[in-house]
Amino acid sequence: MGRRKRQDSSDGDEFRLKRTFQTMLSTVDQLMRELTFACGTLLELKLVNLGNLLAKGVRVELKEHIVSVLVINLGNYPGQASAYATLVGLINVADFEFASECVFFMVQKMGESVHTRDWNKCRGVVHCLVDLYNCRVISSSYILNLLAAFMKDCEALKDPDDLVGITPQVRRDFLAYCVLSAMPLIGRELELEAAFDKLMVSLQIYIKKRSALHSTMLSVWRDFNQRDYLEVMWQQVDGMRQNHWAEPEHQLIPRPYKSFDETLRHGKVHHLRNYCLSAHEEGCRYPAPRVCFRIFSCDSVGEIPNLPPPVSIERHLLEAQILDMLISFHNERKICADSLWMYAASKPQLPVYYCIVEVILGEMLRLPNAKWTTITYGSLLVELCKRQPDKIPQVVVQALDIIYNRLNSMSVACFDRLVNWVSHHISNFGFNCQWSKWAHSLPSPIDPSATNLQPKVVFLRELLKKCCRLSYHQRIKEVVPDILVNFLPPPGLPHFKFVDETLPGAILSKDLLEAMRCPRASPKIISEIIKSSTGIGPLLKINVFTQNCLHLGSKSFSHTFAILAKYQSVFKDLVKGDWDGQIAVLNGVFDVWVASDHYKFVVAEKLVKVFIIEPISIVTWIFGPSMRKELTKMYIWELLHSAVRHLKRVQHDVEVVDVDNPNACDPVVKSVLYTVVERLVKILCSAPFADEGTEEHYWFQWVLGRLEETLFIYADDFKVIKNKLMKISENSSDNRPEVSKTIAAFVACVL
Amino acid sequence: MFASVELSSYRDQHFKGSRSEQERSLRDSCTLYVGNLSFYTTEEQIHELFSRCGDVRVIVMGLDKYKKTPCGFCFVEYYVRSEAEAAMRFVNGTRLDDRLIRVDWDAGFVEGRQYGRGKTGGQVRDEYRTDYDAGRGGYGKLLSQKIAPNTDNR
Repeated sequence: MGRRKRQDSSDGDEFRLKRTFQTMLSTVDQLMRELTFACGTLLELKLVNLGNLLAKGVRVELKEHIVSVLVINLGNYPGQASAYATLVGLINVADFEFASECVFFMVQKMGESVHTRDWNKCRGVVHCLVDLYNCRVISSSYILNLLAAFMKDCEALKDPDDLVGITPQVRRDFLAYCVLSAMPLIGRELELEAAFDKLMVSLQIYIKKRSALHSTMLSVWRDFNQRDYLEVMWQQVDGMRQNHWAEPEHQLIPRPYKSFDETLRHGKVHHLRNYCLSAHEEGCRYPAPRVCFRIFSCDSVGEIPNLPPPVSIERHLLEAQILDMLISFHNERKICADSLWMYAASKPQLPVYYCIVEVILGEMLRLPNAKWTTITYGSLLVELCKRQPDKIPQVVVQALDIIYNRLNSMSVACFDRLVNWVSHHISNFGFNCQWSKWAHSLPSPIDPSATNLQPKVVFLRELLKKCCRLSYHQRIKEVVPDILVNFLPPPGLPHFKFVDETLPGAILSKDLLEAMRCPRASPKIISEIIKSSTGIGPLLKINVFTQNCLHLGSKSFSHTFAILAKYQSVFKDLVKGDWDGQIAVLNGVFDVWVASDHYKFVVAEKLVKVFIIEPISIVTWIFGPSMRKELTKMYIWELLHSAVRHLKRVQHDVEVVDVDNPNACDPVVKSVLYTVVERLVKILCSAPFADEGTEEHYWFQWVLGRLEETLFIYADDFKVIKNKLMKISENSSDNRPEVSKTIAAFVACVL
Repeated sequence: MFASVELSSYRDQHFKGSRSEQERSLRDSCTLYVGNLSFYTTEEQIHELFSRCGDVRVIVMGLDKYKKTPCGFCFVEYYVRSEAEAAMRFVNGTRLDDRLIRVDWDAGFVEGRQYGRGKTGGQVRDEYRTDYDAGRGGYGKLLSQKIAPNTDNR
């Protein structure tokens, strides 16, 4: 009070006004955000509240704020465009000027979002504008004109072979997608308009002429053709047209404005200037092409009552809504699980939870790359299982069963993601899983060596290894049925061969061990012992020293890392710039940790991170003759990708970013990635031809898949060395046509 | 809206510096405190789980001050903030060794902090616990002393 007394009265008023303004601001903010969680009558209630609040007349500053929040929310929650459109519709009835500002700003931001490549925002705003027509805020001619502007690029495609001077297909696909996805919203109202008919014709022509070759390469399963997303969508929208735009049941198209029909009728329509979309710019990136992912079909594992057929507008609309929720809330698994479940609860007649699990898994396994890390999807599924223990877990089990049975034809490029997800998922549920059922579906008798590289066998083996990494050997052994115990790797204990004193290098090993155990041990002393030892070659010396270090540090990762840190200088003196020396170090790691893939990977990774081993040495070593068999195992690829990631981080820190081309690939990274592909192609082309079903045949399939995976992961980097890739592909075409086909298809479909 | 990467209400009372300095370093930190671990959970398991969110720079296991054995917590440091945020989002509250683990921001590891701060050497929470927790040494330390009184009567 004392402080207030000192201010004169006008200051006090201003203070109060400011306070009111702030409160109003945060209330509106909150209410607008809350629109995104609500559905059904709850949403209508919230819209009424917000509409009442805003109808009272708001201050200019607040108006600006509301408009900007509106556009931000459209970008973050594109699935709620119809709710925001309704809001603007309600504003329009009360305050024509304000609504006009909203619309103007939205159109402006849509243009900007194309510039900033914020595709979610662009799509959200387009859908909102389309629904604004339904809310009687803008005219039909404007909306048709806007959509026609989007289709302009697509119409420019006269002949699929005539690729000169036209925009990339990904851009046209995105624009066509915006238009196509808007059609169900306005079809019923506008089907008689000539301009609408023209749009449908352009879409039809575009879908027919564009290339959908990528669908084979982007399919998760080789023998289960996943169709191109846009093509399927066209088929469904066209089906709606033939059905005279009959509204899909269960309110699958959200139309919150319907309950406000009476009110909205009083709004005046705004007339806007025609829209012109900004042209394609060189280097601009667009959303990647996608294919339809369905695992639950009518004929799959028993009947799922009321599940719409895999290819139907109902299924598509469910998928689209679920996807939008993932986009909005993927970072907050609890909120995401809540809103997904609320959505499912709003449609009790439909088994929405099947679609939820299907969409999440589809996104997780999506090729060429998933949008987010595997654990993003995994933690969401765990959350859903916890919240709906009577619904979701059995759906996950069914899905997993279907995926397991299709493993034989699954792309290697998403194999690791699957293993990582399953291990993480079951680790949250006591490692309960269909172990026996899976084991019994293997060809009997189960002999892990005879069918060593069959996909199901590899999957089970890698899964068990991952489970051991997340838990411990004894625990997993107790969980799995006896029939699978053969698949479990032996406990990952260290192995120190120099206890055998007759081995070459054993004397040095003994001397080193003694010296290193001594409290006064220093890098200098150790270095001298290594130098002074005679009778063995330098590479063996390095190997002995490495094994000694790892043996002493074998108690845990920390112990190992501490020893490596202590003797980092000795390592560097021994192997700096010497690739053979670095390989000798790696061989030492593998000698000690022969029984533990986890240690092999983590220790080798650490050696790269502390700059003892260069990433290129990892590449050389992985593709060396002694590692040929290991290439079918997951940890090798974990190591390779970790080394490349490390290199990228280091180069990113040292390099001066090119202002003109910020996406340019660093030359060092480029050369390493090039070497990886070159070595992969070489090892594939030198593989002997083998009959189907033999181990050699499987080996080839695994490694070929790894080539594809590598291309997918670094697609952005490979863009700049496209021509070099093509050259590798051409040179290899004689021996194994599959190899060059893979590279060529990648260059054509993904780059 | 609650964001899972925001700071929790916990503040380390032993932090050297003002409250605002502490909050600033928490906001820039790439280090996480991980709690409610089983005493038997190994560094290797933690490494595997937290690597799912990004490249782990270092793990420091929390040890009993006197026995030098794991006492149910650790620090995990990432190379970049965004990956630590991912761990806050996707690992916090999920299971490791059948326990729901707690992940929280930490201002950064300082030598000495790896030790439990309880009188008996472990974490303070394990002194006053009244429940039986097999993964964390049975009953709380104070309670177990009462249950099994000193039989040495000399």
